[in-house]
Amino acid sequence: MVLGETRKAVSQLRRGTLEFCVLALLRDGERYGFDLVRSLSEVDGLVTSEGTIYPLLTRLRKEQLVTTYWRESGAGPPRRYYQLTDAGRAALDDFAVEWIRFRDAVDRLLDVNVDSEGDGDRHED
Amino acid sequence: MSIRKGMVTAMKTNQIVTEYLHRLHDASSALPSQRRTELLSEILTHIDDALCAAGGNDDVTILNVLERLGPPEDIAAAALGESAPMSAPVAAAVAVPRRGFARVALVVLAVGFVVPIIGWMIGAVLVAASDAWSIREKVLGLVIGPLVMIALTPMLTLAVGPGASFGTLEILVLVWGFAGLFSALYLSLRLRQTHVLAL
Repeated sequence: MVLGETRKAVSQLRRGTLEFCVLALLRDGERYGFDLVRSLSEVDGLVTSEGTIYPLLTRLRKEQLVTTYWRESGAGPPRRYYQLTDAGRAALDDFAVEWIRFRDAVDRLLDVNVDSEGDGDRHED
Repeated sequence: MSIRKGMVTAMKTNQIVTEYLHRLHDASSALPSQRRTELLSEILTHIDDALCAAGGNDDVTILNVLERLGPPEDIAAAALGESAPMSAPVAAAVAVPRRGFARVALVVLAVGFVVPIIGWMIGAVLVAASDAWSIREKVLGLVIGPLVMIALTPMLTLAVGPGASFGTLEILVLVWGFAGLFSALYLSLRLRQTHVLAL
């Protein structure tokens, strides 16, 4: 039960932050779909099904946070490249500020709990 | 070039990949067709890229790639979820009361004869205010009833007979009452035809 709650909370966090992770991966330059998806899925615990990233990319495109263009690849079919727009960069910067504030606040609370429970009857195994 | 082309062909004819894409196709039937085609092509390209990266297209490699992609149903659900936030809550918020509103309008129009003429008028205003019908349907619906009844009035007058105690006002009330019923009938049929899914 508690485990289920944790999983749900983590999955909601993941869902909320994933799009900014996509934007962050594009910060230093364009990438094509497969490359982007693989980079995300290689981050531990971020993506469970690679295929679900494509719908997210479509939404980011519709919201004009990224643009896409097709480029011939040396071998095989043309690839769709994703690139950050100015709006995407601004969204990423905003998020980065908010995320640090959020992360620090949660970290502080978690630390406080550990401390108040701590020392005397802290179970370590 | 030829290696990749060969890979795509081998991949497309591979039973496992075909089945996977079939499942994705079936699971994504609620998507707009253009979006659905795009999703399928993205996933197919991904499989192709992944097999190239893995450097093989044997069943084990394919299964591994599909495993990482996740169940087609999850991908379809994600696609529906991503396209929904813009439209679904709005549709849900608007469509349901809109339908209820439309029904109220129809009932008022149909039983408007209880309060002669005024009842019909209120019904007509409600129908006009509802967005469950197109303008064309509204005009047709509100005009059809009165037109039918105006056409029938001479016959009605004859049927009642000159000796009957019906005055012009009574006939008008009767005619307008039936007009409301006809209008309501037509509009409810239109509502059923165009909004079956909304039920």
